[in-house]
Amino acid sequence: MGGPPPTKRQKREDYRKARETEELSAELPKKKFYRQRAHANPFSDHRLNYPESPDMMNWPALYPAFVAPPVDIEADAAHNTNKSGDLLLKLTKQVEVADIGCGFGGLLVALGPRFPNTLFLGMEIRIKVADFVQDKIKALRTQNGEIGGYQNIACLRANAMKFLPNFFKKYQLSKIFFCFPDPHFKARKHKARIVSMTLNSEYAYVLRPGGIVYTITDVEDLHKWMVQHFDAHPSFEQVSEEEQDADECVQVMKVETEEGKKVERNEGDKFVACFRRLEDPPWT
Amino acid sequence: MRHPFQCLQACYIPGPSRGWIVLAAARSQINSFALYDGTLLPTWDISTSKGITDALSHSMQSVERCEDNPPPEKRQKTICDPMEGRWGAAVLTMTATRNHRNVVVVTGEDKCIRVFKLEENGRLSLLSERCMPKRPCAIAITPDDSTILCADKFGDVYSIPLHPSPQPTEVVSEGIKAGPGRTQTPSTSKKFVPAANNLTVHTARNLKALKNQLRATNQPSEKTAPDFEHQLLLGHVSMLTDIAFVTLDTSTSPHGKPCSYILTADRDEHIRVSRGPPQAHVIETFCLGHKEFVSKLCIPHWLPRTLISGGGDGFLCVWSWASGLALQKVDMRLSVDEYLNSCSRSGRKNFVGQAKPKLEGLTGGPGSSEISSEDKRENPEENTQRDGKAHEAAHSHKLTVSGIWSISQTELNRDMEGEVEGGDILVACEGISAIFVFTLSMDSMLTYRDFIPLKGNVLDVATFGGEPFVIVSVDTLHQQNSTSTVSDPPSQEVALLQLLSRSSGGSWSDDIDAGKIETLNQQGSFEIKVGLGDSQSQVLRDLLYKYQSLRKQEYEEE
Repeated sequence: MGGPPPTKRQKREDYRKARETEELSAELPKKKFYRQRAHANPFSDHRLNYPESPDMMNWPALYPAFVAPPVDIEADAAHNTNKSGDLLLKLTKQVEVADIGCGFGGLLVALGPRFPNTLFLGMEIRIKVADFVQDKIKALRTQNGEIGGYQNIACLRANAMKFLPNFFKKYQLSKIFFCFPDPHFKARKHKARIVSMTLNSEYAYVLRPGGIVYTITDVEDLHKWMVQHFDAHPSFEQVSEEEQDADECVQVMKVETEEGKKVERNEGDKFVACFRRLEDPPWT
Repeated sequence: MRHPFQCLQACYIPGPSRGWIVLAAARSQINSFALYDGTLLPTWDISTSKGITDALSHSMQSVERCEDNPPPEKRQKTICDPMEGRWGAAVLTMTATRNHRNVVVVTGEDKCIRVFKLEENGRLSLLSERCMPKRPCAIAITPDDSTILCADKFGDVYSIPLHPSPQPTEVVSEGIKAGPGRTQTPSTSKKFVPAANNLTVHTARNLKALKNQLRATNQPSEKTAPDFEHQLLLGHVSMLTDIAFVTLDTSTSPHGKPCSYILTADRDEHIRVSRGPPQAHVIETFCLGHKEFVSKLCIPHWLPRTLISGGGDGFLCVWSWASGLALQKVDMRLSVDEYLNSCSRSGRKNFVGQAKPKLEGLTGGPGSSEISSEDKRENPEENTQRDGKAHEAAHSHKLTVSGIWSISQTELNRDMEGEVEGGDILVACEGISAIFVFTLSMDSMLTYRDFIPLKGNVLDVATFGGEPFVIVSVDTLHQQNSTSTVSDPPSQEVALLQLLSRSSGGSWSDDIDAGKIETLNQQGSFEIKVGLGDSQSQVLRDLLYKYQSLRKQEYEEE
């Protein structure tokens, strides 16, 4: 009389609890306990946590190895405390690379060790998927504690289409990745695409002049759409193929993302396009 | 009982023996009223698109009627009409051009922007009707009176010329280069080819969707772009709530030459500062600090580098908007509490029962009018613990700033030689029967002065350039300080409008000599049944108190 067998939901909860309490935290998480629908509606009011403004963001919680020693604690405390009185410490450097819609975090994990002095942030709207990446990074950090590995990558559950300026200041980023975004096939849903004329203005705002937007997709139609929209936006120009091929990040993006691997297995196509953020025009 | 006026607009007719006209909209009906001689001018009804007391001339022929090309897909939301069509598309805003020759009227249900000519005799005549792709929420008119900027429910800002060109021209899109803008997609009759193939799809759902697409012989027709000239300037992924267009002249501009900006406010707490066209794709900065949706933007024209914003968090924020710097935050709860307390002290019969629960919720707010960096975003735990009812109750106690109006002292004291001391800021909160008076100094300091109790909840305020008076539209259908309880006429004064005037000492008060607006108060608007049926009263409530519905109903997707 053991009662009904535990449901999938129950198993997932038990697994997540076990990871928190037991010493499972050094073990890489298993995807099957983090399943969620493949798509999320970017327009709905999710219960999200996001800072009121970039200055209010608690970055040290994400990158504890990069916390700057407080120069003058008392002066800092007067200016930089949040509601619960926590001192908002500063980092020695700012987040410079954003992977928007980072999925299961393949790109972060691959790029992190290649650029150990650059801070990467993955943003994912599906809460369980973001949890998976967070648990994976935690485990990787524990496994690589001796060499201080994976301290420069982190993941947040966030709706980047709505709240990007809450996290990043003007010109803060040098690279933005859009890897295998939701294609939103129906024309009626095109506003929900991560790349649009109006959203590109927001990417231009957080990206510094000279910074690069990386896109990859297996849907040719979406590829054309992204090229067309970045090309038409006065703040961006497409990066030449030679320059693109020479970029280490492009190679990593093709091979190391989860979707990239899936497409490889399916022998599907991969379409890559990169765009450079131009200087703002002089006032007319 | 008469239908309250949900919005007001003052217009000045130049010339000898001419003066101020008040336009007052009740649902879809616009009353024109000559303030200078107290006469009611011909009324216009949007839903029938004709003057009620004055049939329109044959010039209507040239007007582009939107009925000819209704949006193909979605059925128009129409409200059936017990009162000769007056429950039709309701007026959301009325804005006069700077030269007061035209009035732009926005209606919600039919997504339409109508431009009227204000005739010399004060009558309105319709010049054009343009139906936007999405429901407009707010508009701004550029200072040269050439262009309307329309901010919509989908988050986009379009610019359209004030007067449509006579021939439907090629759709231009300069602000963001022509081509891929989603509304500019030309309708093509080419055979539908699905964007995905068997190699691109990953999930069972996707596969099913692809099969369905392949089965469909042809792509269902997408919405066609408007056939009038329009440009997509910018967009948020959030409903827009207000828009402002500012031009800084050489003396105030940070770049040493005149610069124009578009400020847009959204439901996700953002105020975005973009450059004016043709560089509207450049975002200059954001003004971040509201904790709930932003409801109103007000840039006093005598202090163009300062922005006062109001929000669903009950705060006023004062910004140096060009740099995104918050200068001051003012909690309206303190002033509203003071007013509500005074109401219960004066022991107004029908007020007490209503106000008590409200007071509980409203008291105990933080007493700071300084910038507080405290983060009041509710933590998720708190949220999940609350049951639905408690949630609702908490919401009903939340204040929303529903209107901010600026009146400069230079204008008020224009006959007096003296130092410029800034001006007055009048503030209304949704469902509150008082106007709150602030002073804004020339160094952008906002100081609360007092409140003016009114006969009903404040709906809109008309300001008259430099004149030391304003007209306030009030709702006496509902009880004071309630948006849901229908009032009890014998115990509550009935009125549509109230006249407030400013004494030479600077204090505002209910004008005893309100004879000027008596005709409009008595004969304006139209009769509605007091015991409104449920659906009707809901329709009315949604019109008068539109901010309530903007609060987020957060949920988690599986």
